[in-house]
Amino acid sequence: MALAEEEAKKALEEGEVPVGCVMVRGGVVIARGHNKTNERMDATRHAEMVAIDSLVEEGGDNLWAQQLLAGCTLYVTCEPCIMCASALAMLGLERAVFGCCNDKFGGNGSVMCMHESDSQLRAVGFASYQVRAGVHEQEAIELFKKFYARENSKAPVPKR
Amino acid sequence: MPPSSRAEGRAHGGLPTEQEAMERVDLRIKVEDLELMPVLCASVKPKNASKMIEILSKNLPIPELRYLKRMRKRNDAAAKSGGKAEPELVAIIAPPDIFSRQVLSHSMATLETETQDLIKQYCDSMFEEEVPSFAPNTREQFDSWSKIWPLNYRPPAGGMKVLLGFSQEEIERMKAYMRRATALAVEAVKAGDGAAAAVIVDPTSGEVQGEGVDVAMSGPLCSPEIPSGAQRNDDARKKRHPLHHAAMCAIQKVAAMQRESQLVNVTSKRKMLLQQVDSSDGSRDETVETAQKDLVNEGPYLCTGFDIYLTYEPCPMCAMALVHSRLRRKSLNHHYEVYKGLLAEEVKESITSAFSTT
Repeated sequence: MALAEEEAKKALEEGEVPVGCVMVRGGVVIARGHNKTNERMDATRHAEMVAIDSLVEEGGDNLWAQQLLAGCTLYVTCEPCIMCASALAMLGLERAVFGCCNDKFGGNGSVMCMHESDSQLRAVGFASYQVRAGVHEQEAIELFKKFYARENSKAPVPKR
Repeated sequence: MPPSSRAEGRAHGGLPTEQEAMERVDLRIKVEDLELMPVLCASVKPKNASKMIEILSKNLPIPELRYLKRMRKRNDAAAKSGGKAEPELVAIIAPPDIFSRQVLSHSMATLETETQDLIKQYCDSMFEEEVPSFAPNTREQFDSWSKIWPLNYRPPAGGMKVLLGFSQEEIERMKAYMRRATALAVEAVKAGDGAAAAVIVDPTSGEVQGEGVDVAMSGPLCSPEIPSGAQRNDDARKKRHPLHHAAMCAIQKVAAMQRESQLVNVTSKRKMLLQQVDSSDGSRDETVETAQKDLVNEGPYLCTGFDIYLTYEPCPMCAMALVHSRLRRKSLNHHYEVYKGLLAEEVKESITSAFSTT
């Protein structure tokens, strides 16, 4: 989780919304990423997607959807949004661990539960994965506070 | 009766038009013509009005007619010419499906005696009145139907504008973009990719801003990072990506194009600024830096206000990506309008035949 926070700090330094993540398999960090939506002018460049892209970039033979994140644990500072949570379900992630909740777009319990795929979603390639919330929650929130204090003094402090 | 089932029951003469074939997905309602149905009513003296309203809403609620006010002033000519000092009121007693006095008296048997007595006073003079048989979908319908019976109006989530109110010209334009998406899908199928294709359009200029096909499941792919117009068969950049669904590719193509145009903008303006600053005595770095910051805020923001045409319904990941990218933003809550069924048969046929010839 500390490594994910390091990534989030990089995003903060780059003027991005501070979210960072690492993917771990068998005790080894296999990918890391931080939010790049402003830099890439692309609202889909969330930390998780950036990390996934780096894995795809490395190639390998595991590009078949359900294998890419098999046996992996994702550590991310903020709850994955519905888009990222869906992507993780399609890539066969084993476990997601996150800091604070994403009340607006959260896909791991706050708004939707993309990690609990029903039969309809399983039929189109979505798998289920475990979720653990609230790990280093305060640290993640502090980062958001710093970002909003800098970007917009009027912006409300993110909830929880 | 819910509006959808009524829509199915309504007979159309001839083939449906595109307007009817295309359906707004999020609201599942159509703009329909006024239909009337009879309800059982009774006259109520104004002094009893509030007591009657209380009894009716407590003991004989009609939730399916919530769009109708329970009571209105009598406005027929007979009442006016009667010259009464106080105008009578008309209350809706029962909906059409318990439209018999036997049923009504049966349901009344469960009420308190006092309430029964009060309603019985009116039962002898009960009569039928015609009221709109479903809630208005638009402000216009609300205004005109209210003359028949006063209505309660809750605007639909999409606002008060007429739904599916596209002109024939707009429909033709939309069809052209959908055909473009279909052509992309056919091409993709022939190349061994998926049959989902997406086209993102700026509706104000009519220009296509980005396109993509589904390269997630099979076949080599053209990376979305390649700027539009670049060679498609550049083998070195071809790559499969499990998340590169059509909509994701199209969004990333738009981003790539916007990055490129921003780069061009910044470089050219920077040159211009440097010349300006050099000729004056201003602090060079500071001026250029501020100007560059302003430049970043210029130009389109993501896909705000753009439309996307898809051959297939987007998966949850893509649907959320469309929300993030602000396609046809409706409000700060990032809503977008969804329509389905445009050229559905044509798309299906083209893709099926592409599969069978591959």
